[in-house]
Amino acid sequence: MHHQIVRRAGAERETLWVLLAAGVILASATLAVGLRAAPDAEAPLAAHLIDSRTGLTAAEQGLYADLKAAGEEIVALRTAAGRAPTPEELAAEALPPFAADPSAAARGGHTWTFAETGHEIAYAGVSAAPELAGSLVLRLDGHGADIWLKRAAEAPPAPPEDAALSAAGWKRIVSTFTAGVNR
Amino acid sequence: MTGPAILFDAVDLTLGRTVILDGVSLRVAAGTVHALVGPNGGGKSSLIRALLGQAPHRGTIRLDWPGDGPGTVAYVPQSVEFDRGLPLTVEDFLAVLCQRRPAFLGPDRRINYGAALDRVGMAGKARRRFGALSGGERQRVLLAQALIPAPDLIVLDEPMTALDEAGIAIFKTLLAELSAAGTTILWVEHDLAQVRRLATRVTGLNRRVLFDGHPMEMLSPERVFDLFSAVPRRAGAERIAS
Repeated sequence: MHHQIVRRAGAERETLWVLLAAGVILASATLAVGLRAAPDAEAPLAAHLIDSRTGLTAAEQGLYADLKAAGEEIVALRTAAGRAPTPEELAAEALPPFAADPSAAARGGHTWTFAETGHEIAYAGVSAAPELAGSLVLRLDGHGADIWLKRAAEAPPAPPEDAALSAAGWKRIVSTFTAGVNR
Repeated sequence: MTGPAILFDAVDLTLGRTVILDGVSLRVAAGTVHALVGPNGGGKSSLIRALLGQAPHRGTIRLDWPGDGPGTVAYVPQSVEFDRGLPLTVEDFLAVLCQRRPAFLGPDRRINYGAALDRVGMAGKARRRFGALSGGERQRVLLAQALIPAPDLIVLDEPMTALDEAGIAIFKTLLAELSAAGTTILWVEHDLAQVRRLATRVTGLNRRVLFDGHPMEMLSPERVFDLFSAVPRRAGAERIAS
């Protein structure tokens, strides 16, 4: 004897299967995301580095961008004239941030000095208002520009070597690229 | 293999807010000709749809098959809706309903559609266009499709309504043959005289079961009037049931 129960017509079973399928998809997606998650790329910066995106004030970000552009200009002038231009000459050319204009005053009113050590040249700007923007050092060797920052109204050690700057509490500005960088 | 017994236990069916069936409990014995009678809208066709698993019923409907597994259930609908202009022959129509092979590949030669048509008196009309058949002939074709393969349970929804005199005679012969073969027959019918003559048991249904018993005893004028009256008397039904 075989007992056959006639089941009611309806979408209950189909609904159950659809829900089960949705559950399986969600579970497998969660599993895949969990297993394949990218490692946390934001390694903390070394003590002598500071991030240009997150670590600088607005004025410092402006000065940093200007100094990077000015670094290329200075390298070109040095190649053309055979010697490095002084801050006064750069100010005369109205090259920011060396030019003494209202913008420079609003961004800390830096006083720029110049030092040359062999092949390497350095421009040091001592801030008059460290709460707006710290003091800055632009170092140029043959290969590129290094920019250092210290939030104090003080001149960098001479000569401005890496070790000496770090020891004196200066921080090199670097750009880190993480998942948050979208431009 | 003889046919199954059917048990309806407290079957309710509500569509929207309309109560179609209300606590229908009914037992159809194996191998009997069980007639369902009742007024239009009484839930006869709905009970059949529930039995075929096509209605959202509540309660239990159970088929007790004598063998190890379910057998063949055949269904003859009251009528078939289709486009009369359809270029479909009688054989094509049977092929659509009866074979596993897609009908556009042609009728399956292993299935003898001719024999089934012969049993309903439609021999030689296999190539006729289905839309050109008369109502009685179409009803015979619907009977023929229920015979392929040989059914263990056959559910008939007012099969005699469209049949002519000759068709009715053929139907009676078929009913006798199927009954002799042990097939369980559940038969919805309006014609109470035929039910008295041919059925072994009859159930009066108007939303609920009003009577259930042997046709000769049950189809008395009083009960029939009660069955077809606008407001079925619940108390009377209970008196009869007890």
